[in-house]
Amino acid sequence: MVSPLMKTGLLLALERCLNELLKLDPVTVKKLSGCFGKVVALHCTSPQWMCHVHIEQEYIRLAGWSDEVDVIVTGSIVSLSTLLTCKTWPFSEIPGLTVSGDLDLMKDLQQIYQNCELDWERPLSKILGDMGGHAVAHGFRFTGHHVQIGQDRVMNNLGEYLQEELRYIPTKVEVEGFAQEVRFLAESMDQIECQWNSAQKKYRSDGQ
Amino acid sequence: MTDNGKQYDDDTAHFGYRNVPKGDKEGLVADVFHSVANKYDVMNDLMSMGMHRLWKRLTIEASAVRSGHVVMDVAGGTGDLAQRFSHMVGPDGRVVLTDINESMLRVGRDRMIDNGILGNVDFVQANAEFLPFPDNTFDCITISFGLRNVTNKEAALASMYLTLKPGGKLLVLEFSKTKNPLLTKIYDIYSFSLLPMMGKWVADDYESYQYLAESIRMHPDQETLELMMQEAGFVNTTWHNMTGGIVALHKGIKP
Repeated sequence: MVSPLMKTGLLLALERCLNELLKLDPVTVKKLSGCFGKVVALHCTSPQWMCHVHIEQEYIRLAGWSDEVDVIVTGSIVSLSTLLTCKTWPFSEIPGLTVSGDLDLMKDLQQIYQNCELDWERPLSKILGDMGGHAVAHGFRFTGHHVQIGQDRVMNNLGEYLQEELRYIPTKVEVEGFAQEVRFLAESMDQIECQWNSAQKKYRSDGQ
Repeated sequence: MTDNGKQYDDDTAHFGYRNVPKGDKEGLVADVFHSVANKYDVMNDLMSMGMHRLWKRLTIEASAVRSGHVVMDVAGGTGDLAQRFSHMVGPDGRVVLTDINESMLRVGRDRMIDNGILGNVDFVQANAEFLPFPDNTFDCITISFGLRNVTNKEAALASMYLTLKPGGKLLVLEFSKTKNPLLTKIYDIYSFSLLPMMGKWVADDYESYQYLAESIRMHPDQETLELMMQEAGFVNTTWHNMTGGIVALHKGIKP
């Protein structure tokens, strides 16, 4: 159980990082100012954690609680992480995520987030100089691009590998064959049940 | 005679452990703050090891101030809270930073100007016991680490009550009493030995920081302050301890 003071401290640290990041995209900051005064509550169900995001003039403030809230976003840590990492997914399609309150505001915020472009080269250039910063940024982009290609390949080929090499997953044909056998078994059971019921009726009527 | 911070003798008031004529206290406190004004923020960080930022942060969260609100920070001195409130209320709101001490107010005003905060903040030199504003003006009033320096706390609470709007919130952040004997012992050693020495080394002012430690001990405890707020007319009064009760945040609503 985190004490309110400790939680405030953590949120303060997170808030500072967030606002430093936001400074890297002045356009996003300006767009967010359009939602000035709005409050979004992020309610994580597992682990239990609540955080209120206050949108202020060119600033985001994080708080442990708030009297009034405009939007409540509820979900597990996985759903909330998906909301943050998968920029292209509309919030309504994220499994396990519930959004209530001002849905238009939520759509606007998600759109602002999707169009956000952090100029992370700027802090690098401040440390390494213009040429060095750009070269290092280019290196990161190159590495990131190839990691992404590798990830996509793994995801595309993983299904085939599990199916063909390891035989952990049956093929489509095997699944269809199995389903057909199950259907045949079900029909046979129905027939037997009908025959049993009619035999019972006949026995009772003969008995009377 | 006093009982846990409440005054029974009309002619004297606490100035730390000393009883001084009531009329003198204001001047004595003024001298303290004239002396510490320039190093006030540095000393706050040193003395509380940065904790004062978290205590004030919790106060801001508890205020629930929003865009368009009118807020007053009494005895706001160097403007910690007022600066934050300025961002929260936006151009449609208003923040009034008041302090009886001109030096502290000047430091607060200069700092806010340096940080580009000017449009929605007013700076008013005023006595907390006689706030010069119409009744029912403010959505929220805060007073952080200032109430213990006020000569007549009941008058200050009454004045804040009048100037609050119905439904408005008063937040009092102040040093208070710990119930933990070990923590009390450590706190006493820290307050009466280390603090004045830090004041001497950093601000070259031993006496002011000795006053600070003494004034904390003479301030009402949590329950007494809550009762004082209720007697002033506040309802739904609550208090919340921080750092083991070294600091407490009292909240009250004007009905």
